[in-house]
Amino acid sequence: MKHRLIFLMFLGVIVMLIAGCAQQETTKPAPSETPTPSEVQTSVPSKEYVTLKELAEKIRSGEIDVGNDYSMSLNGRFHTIHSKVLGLDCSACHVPSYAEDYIYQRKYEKPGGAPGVVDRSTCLGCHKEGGIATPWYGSANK
Amino acid sequence: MKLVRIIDMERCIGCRACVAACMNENYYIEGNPWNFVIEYETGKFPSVRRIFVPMNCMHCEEPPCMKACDAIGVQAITKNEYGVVLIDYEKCIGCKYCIAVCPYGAPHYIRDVKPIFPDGDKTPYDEVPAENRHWTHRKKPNTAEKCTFCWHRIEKAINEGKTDLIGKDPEYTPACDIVCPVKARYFGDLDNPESEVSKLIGSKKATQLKKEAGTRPQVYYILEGGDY
Repeated sequence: MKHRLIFLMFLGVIVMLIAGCAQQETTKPAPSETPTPSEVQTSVPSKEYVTLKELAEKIRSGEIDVGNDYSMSLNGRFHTIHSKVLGLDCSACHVPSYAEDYIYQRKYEKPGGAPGVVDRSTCLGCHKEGGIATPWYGSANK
Repeated sequence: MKLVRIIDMERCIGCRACVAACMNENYYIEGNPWNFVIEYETGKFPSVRRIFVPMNCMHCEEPPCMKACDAIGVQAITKNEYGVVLIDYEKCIGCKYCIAVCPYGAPHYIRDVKPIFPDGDKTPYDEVPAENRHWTHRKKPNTAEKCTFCWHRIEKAINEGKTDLIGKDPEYTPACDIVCPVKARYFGDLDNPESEVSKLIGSKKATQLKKEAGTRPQVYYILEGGDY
């Protein structure tokens, strides 16, 4: 009888503990205690994700400064946009050499100082009509 | 009037007479040919074949070079009512954007204007002063240049009211097209359904290179097997 009483008391304590925890989880802070958005931002480090399209727009609008050096030099605007802002590796555009049947008038030339020749078909991905970048190329279906 | 060129690759023998004619006509400077022949082999021995692809500026209907030049506010490249894409050397800043965007590799950059002979001697061509040349032949360092469809000849036809002779009379036809020994090149007005080029495009299924770029070139090629 004594053991049974102790067991029931022990069970009661466990039930109370579980109920207490559950109440703690569901308890919402009072309105006055709710953190403001600014408090959230300062307390929690946030990451702003920008799509490539938004990035391209920011470059075009001048929000992202890529300089005014319109040249193909490494520090010029062209390479700044593609490698520094968009993060393209050199090998994304420069390939060691063209394929045997590649049709390109300056096929046998390599840009001075460049790690390789450039396959222009890479540019099509972004620079065609409806692409994210300024459209140099049209639609093949026209 | 939409001027177009047709190159018959079934007939081309890779002799490069067109390249030489262009060099003579357009005051060639070292390393900057406006006309070039790409060549490569296909097949496996013993069934091999050499392919010759004469290339020059495609004078695209939607020229990416012009779009890039306009986008940066330079506006040195224009496309006129005859469909000819031209570079104004006085406006060109030598940024090479046109070179970067052209899918055909047509524009070339002039670093220096040097005589052709390595010892520095000038040819009679080199000695012709800039003011005595057509403006498309006034070579200038730090500019881009390319094939003009021999605009000086077309312009002459326009000024003399003889546009109907473009592509027929050698005087009013690009130099490269009149020297071809195997008649693999044609030049004329695509807007005229009776022109030789219009008929050839229809009958021989002449097509453009790299159509995926959507630039709609005005140089057509007759390929073995027709259009693709």
